[in-house]
Amino acid sequence: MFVRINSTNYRTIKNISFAPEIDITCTSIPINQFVVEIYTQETIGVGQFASLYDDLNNLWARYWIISVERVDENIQRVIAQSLLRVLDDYEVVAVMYNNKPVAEAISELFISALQNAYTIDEAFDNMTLSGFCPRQTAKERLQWICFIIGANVKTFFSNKIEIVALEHSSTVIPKNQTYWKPSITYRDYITSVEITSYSFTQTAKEQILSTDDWVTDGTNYYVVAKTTYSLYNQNIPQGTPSNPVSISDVMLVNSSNFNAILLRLASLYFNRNGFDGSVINNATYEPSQRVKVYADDETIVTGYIESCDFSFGLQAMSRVSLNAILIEDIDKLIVTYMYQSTILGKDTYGFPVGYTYHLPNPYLDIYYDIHRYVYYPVAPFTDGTMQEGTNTETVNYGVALIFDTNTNILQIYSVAGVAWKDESEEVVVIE
Amino acid sequence: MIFSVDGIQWKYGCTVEKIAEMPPSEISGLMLDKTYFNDVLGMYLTYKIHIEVPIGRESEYAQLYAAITDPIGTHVCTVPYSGGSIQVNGRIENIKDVYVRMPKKKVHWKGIEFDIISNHPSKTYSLGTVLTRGVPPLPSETDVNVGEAYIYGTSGWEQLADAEDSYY
Repeated sequence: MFVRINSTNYRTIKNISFAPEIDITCTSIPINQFVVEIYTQETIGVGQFASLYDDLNNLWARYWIISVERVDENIQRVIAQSLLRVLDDYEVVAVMYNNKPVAEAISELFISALQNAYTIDEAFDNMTLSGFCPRQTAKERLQWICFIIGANVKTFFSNKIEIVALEHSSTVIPKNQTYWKPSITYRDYITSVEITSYSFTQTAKEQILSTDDWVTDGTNYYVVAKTTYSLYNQNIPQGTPSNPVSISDVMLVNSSNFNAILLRLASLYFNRNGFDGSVINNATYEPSQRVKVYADDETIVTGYIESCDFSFGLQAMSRVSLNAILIEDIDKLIVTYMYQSTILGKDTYGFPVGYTYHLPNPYLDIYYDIHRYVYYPVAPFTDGTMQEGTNTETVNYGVALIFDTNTNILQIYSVAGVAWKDESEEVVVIE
Repeated sequence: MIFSVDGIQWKYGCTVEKIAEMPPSEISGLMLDKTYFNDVLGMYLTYKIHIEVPIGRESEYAQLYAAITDPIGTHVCTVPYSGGSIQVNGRIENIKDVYVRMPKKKVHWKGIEFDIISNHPSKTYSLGTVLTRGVPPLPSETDVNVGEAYIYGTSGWEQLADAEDSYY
């Protein structure tokens, strides 16, 4: 890993702390930060960008330096936060939205210098907002909007703030990338979710009664009417103490959207299952991603990653915390890789019955004595649906390359084409 | 010369023990499929050196001792490696020498033992190599064809004129 500040790459790093997270319920937006301790005698100043990269030059985070402390003669501790920190530093005026397109509303939150600092998922293209927002910080307004549309805000593995929808398809984290031994956790029961819906009636200022609840955008005045809606958790033991979640201050909730919001909150809050574990994570898995991860040999958990707390060696790993939406028993799938009548290898997977799998078949790099063989899969993927019991699949292979480690002779047997992956990579991609 | 420390050479009797270690990083560990994930940063060398000071070489020994005990973070050492020698930039630790007095013989510092521990890996791979380990990069030609054979030498890949020249 290295940090780039003002075109200088700092590669001698004592310590990196990076634990990005999201709030899957959209009731808050974590700012996210990284802390690095850099060996340097140069003076690093605040008020500039610091970018965290891995050794493959993949960007992990591009954050704004808010603090630099010299902890030793040659070590400086740099704290940098995402641009959401900047959104928290200025306020936006009160506004009444009336079918305002989401993209326009969000654009108005970013000052001109930050107009290219974010992206919005196209899933929100046709959504609009109706309701009132008081004078508030730009970050709080953004959080209100994301809460209404069900968006998460990502500030990692990109140089932009990304406003994204939750995924519907899952990525499987294999067992050989999951540390021993994760755990399924349980939160306290949430007995109900309550949400307050707002309606506004424009009124002349003089006609507002002392008993009225009212708001103003500085020009017009509106009398406010509120209605609270509740959804009760039907799957709790009798006698469970009341433990509601209540969202009452977001004045963008209205009669058109309260039901969808209530259902979304219920699906997240009524699920008390969580998953805590560690995985090998070279920027492969990130918060907001929907994954399937094994809890043990018999159980697979589906959920959204809420946080990744990274540790670094040559590779990287992270503790992951999931909001687990589904826990299933699994049956075994054995995939056997064959070249003619020779078994080259096997992989074992565990999936629940009915799961449709789409597994990439890997190139196989195998040494026999002094020879090194690269085998290519005849079909790039193995597809199927899990049945009850042990499932089997066979993947056929052909010889692509044979390399004699004694004579250094490479013989090409069967390739469609050869290309450099990129100038810095010492691996050839065979397509 | 057997070895040197910060330019001070030692040409007399000594024993050199070379230890190569590949310590797993803190993220190594047991995986759920019961395999061990070994995340290795590199290969680090430690040299354990024991020298005997010949009678009459006390001044050379004093020079070497001064270099070894210099309290700096990194010493530049030349040590034996395979058929030749390599430079190891490392720290020196566990320095111990013995002063003996024999009956009717001159007293002297008998010998010293110390460890040279390299601060940098003598061998390491990039993250890209570790993640995508494969055959060496192919020739720069963009249209490599089935049946061709190439040989990899010190100057890179060369195509064999006759594929029959290949092993296969």
